[in-house]
Amino acid sequence: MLGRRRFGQRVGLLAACLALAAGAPRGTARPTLAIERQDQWSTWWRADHAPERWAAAEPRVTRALAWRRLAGGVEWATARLAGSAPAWRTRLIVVRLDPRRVRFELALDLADPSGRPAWTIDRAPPGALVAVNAGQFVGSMPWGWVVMEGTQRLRPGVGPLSSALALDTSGTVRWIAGDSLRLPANGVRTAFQSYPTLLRDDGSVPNALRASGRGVDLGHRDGRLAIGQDRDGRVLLVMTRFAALGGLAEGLPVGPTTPEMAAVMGALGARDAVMLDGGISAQMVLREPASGRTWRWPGWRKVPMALITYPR
Amino acid sequence: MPVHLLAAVLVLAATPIAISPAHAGIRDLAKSAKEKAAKATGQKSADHPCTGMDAQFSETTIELTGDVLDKLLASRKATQPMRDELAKLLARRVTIQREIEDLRGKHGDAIVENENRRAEFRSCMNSTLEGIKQRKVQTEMANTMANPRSAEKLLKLTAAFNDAQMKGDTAEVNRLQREMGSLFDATHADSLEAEKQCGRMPALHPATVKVDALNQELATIDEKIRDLEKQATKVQADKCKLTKGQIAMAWERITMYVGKSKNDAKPCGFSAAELSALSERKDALAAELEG
Repeated sequence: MLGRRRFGQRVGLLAACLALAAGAPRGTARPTLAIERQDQWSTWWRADHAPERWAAAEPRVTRALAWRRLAGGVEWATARLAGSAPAWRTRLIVVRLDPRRVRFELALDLADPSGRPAWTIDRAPPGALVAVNAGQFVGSMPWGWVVMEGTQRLRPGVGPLSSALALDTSGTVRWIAGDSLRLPANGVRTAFQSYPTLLRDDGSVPNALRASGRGVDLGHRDGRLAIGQDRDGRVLLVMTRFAALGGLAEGLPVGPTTPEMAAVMGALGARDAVMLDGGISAQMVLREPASGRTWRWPGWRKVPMALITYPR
Repeated sequence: MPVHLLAAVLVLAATPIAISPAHAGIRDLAKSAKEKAAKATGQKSADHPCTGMDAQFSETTIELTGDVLDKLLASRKATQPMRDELAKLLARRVTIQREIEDLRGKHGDAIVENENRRAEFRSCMNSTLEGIKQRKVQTEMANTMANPRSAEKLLKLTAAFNDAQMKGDTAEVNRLQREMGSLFDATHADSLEAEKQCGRMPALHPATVKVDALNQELATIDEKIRDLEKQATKVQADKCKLTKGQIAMAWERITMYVGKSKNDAKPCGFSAAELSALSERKDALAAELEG
């Protein structure tokens, strides 16, 4: 008993000392983001020095990613981020897809007969390489523009911080930002809209994400999911998972703020990026065709629409 | 609780807020202490308490007090007429989807064959019209160059085109391209000549016509569903005096709570007052999520 108590005292004392030595984040501290590489952490973003435009990827972030091949044209990597409370630790899952080598399809999935959203990663087709929830939704239907198999299924939504992604059969991805509504009429096979826009005009962070009071809650933390495109034309899917407590609470909707997520996408080299539905909706599955192995990050609720990636 | 387990929990509680990224190695120490503690007590990770996971309220995340929950439930009830209409639309949606599946099931091969024949016709017409256009270009060029006035006009047009290209004036390039191209565009007579070679476009298969009409109806219904849901959201926001974002986040957290409760797991990220209010209304909230 004495031994146990001594052990307990020692560990408790150690915890207290560490807290003092390491300097717990103070209330006045501005949020920062650090990334782990080979057990070393480097801070690469500070809210009070946030770039207005990401002209290139941030080497401290890209070097921390060890890419793994999933299939032809699909790679993925994970990394750990350290941020401000309560998102002390966030696991970043990054999937990089070459749209010339893979094919994107949308699945609109409503339950029969209730009509309620029915899609989860369990409903991803067997041939899918990557499946992830797409767009945003309020009730049963996705928000905004939806084109499936070349046919417009839902008309465009309006919002200054919205972005539309339009994909054609050749693998060209077009981004249409905000209210321009200059949507391509022909040649679009798959398209959807989402919000808020994180990056536009070759890596610029929208004004509404740079200062509060412009319609976006800049302090809200949540599990995040975003899609972007880098300067080599590759599509990036980025998901965050709460990774404090040794990953025991991965499903908790805690994570980066919207400006922090814009920084993550910019640091990964995206020139365009938009948030997808995060929080309890965020879910993704990766399937390696060679081995049949899957990696799953389930969500807490069913969603109406998914973006499915197949080999070409 | 055994003392060493308490100590391990203390370390876990202190670690996330205390360590800076540079001291991440400490995480391993904490993890090791936690693992030792869990091993000693046979505790499973799923039983881990919500240490350090206190509720965080913000502009979007509001505290789910009894009053807030009652307002949310009442506002959902106020949308009942819209939900009834929604149920009718959703039922029709299901019927349409079944009809489309039936048609594709019964006529799948015939539809594909019809689409292939139509594609062959389009391909034949395109190549024949291109041949006609090339012949026209050669003839027109020969005529134009033989006439000094029209030759000068063509040279001016070409110079303007090159100039616009040099300046990167895409709009002007497109305009001039259209102007020059229009000289040789296919006429009705050209189409008739091509049809002599390719025959007539095969009519759409009747099943395709029905599927297209059903898809059109489906798109109309989907828009109606979306409009109704938009109305319902507005009614809820007005009734609750909350923003749409606050309502959405409240229901997200309720969904998490109900989901966790179903699995008999301890819901994390809720205040004590919230847990009490949610527990009192658990059945009503679950019914609302199912309904």
